[in-house]
Amino acid sequence: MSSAKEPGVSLEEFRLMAERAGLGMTTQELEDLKPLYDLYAQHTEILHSIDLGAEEMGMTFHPDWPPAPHA
Amino acid sequence: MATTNADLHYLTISQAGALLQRQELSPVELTRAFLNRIEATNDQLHSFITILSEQALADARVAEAEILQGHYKGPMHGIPFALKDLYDTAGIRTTSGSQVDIDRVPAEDATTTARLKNAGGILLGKLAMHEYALGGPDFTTPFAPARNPWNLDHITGGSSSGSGAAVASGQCMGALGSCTGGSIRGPASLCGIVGIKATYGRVSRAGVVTLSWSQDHCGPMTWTVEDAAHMLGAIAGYDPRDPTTSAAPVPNYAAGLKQDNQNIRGVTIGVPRHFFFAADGGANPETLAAVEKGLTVLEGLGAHLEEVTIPSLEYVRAANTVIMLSEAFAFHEKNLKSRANEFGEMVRARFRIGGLLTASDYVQAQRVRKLFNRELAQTFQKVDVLVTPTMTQPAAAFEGYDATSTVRGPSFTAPFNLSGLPAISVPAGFTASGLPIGLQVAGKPFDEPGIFRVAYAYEQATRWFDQRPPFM
Repeated sequence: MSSAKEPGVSLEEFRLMAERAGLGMTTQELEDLKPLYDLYAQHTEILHSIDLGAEEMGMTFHPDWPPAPHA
Repeated sequence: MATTNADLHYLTISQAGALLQRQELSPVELTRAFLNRIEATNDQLHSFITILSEQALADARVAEAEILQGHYKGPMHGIPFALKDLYDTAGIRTTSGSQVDIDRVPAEDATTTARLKNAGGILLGKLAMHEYALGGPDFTTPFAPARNPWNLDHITGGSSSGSGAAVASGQCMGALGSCTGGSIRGPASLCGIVGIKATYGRVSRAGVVTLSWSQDHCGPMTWTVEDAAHMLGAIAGYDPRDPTTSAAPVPNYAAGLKQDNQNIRGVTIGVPRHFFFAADGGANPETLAAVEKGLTVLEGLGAHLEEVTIPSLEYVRAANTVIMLSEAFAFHEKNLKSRANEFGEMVRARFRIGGLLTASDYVQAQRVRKLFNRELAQTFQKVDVLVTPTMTQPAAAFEGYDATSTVRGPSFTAPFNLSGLPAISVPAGFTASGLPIGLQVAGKPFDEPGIFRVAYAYEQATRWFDQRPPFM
């Protein structure tokens, strides 16, 4: 039995997350997917680490400045 | 109509168009040359999923009759093209590269499909792609991954993999790709061709299978900048079927190139070195060296280089990814839950991760998007375009390919999907091992003429397009 701490969420937490999302995954599928999830979790951690102040949401693109002269 | 000699498949759209207009080349002969080329090469390239030989020849005969009767429609008339297999084609299977949609036959053309056909284009077939425009080369889907004509042991990049391989190998004169994080410019760069995604809203997405509503773009992949201008001109413009399209008039992009006469004197080029050229940024040294040379070429043509800083660039990959996977899960949720085993391994895993992201993740990503757009707007008050490498690396080999490589490290293309700004990739040379390198030009909203102008000047000065793949 390994004493090393699992990166990110535990497998049990991961199972609960997948159940909540309705993904219906087997234990083997969960174990296979978790390393990739941990990799993607680095992206979400970055997003939550930024001090965005009062920044609003961008949603879809909308030009915030006048069109180029060619347009 | 007269019949010309061999290597018709290496004509550009502009060259062929001139011959077709003068009735010195028959659309039927031209189409037959491309069908022969596909037949001779597709077993090795795996770029076409569906080949429409009979229909293409029938359409070519119609185009021939129209031209002979004096009804020449314009630069796409009689031009053989192909579509990434997520563009709907009425009555023709459209699979998105997936077992899930293996038998899907749309009743209606995508707007872009219809516009190219109405412009007189000859549809040769449907092209391979990464499943549902995500992931990478996946041998667990029904279709073999497309191979790079510059080295068949290497990937094409994606997700418009077949589009890159087909144009680079002379299987078609132009193709449409689609792009959510770089899927047009990426394979264009790795296959040594031109690829452009216009401003979000410039080209209709109606009838194109969704990956991420707010980041998907449609656009052409061609051998030259001028050809890309011709194709974009044919598909751009307002579409009542796509409420995000702009009603702004569509300029004549190709005519603009000639008017400017390759002159970029006085153009200010922004260079965000802190992100795209950082020594520890993970980019390939040969790629960086080639694009540095490109900047020198542009400076020699009269452009002014100005180093710019866009701090939030370092968050863009995360925001692009979270938005893309969240929206993709929403689009594919029903099938993912009821037919999971019909997805390839790579996409199934990524879509499932989309289902594990939270609303808070998505909102944070959208706030980063707003921040990034504001910083870009400030930057574009000082510069006309940005010039960067298109990709961090040249085409990887299939052997030992790391499927997570696209998750790690920065993306040089995603910033312009997140922002919706126009961006083009143009060939910028080769690595020592002969793999193509791309240079990216990005611009202000709806300033496709501006990025075409810089890309065209660079292309004409360097003429990398004179080199064709050693393949056949």
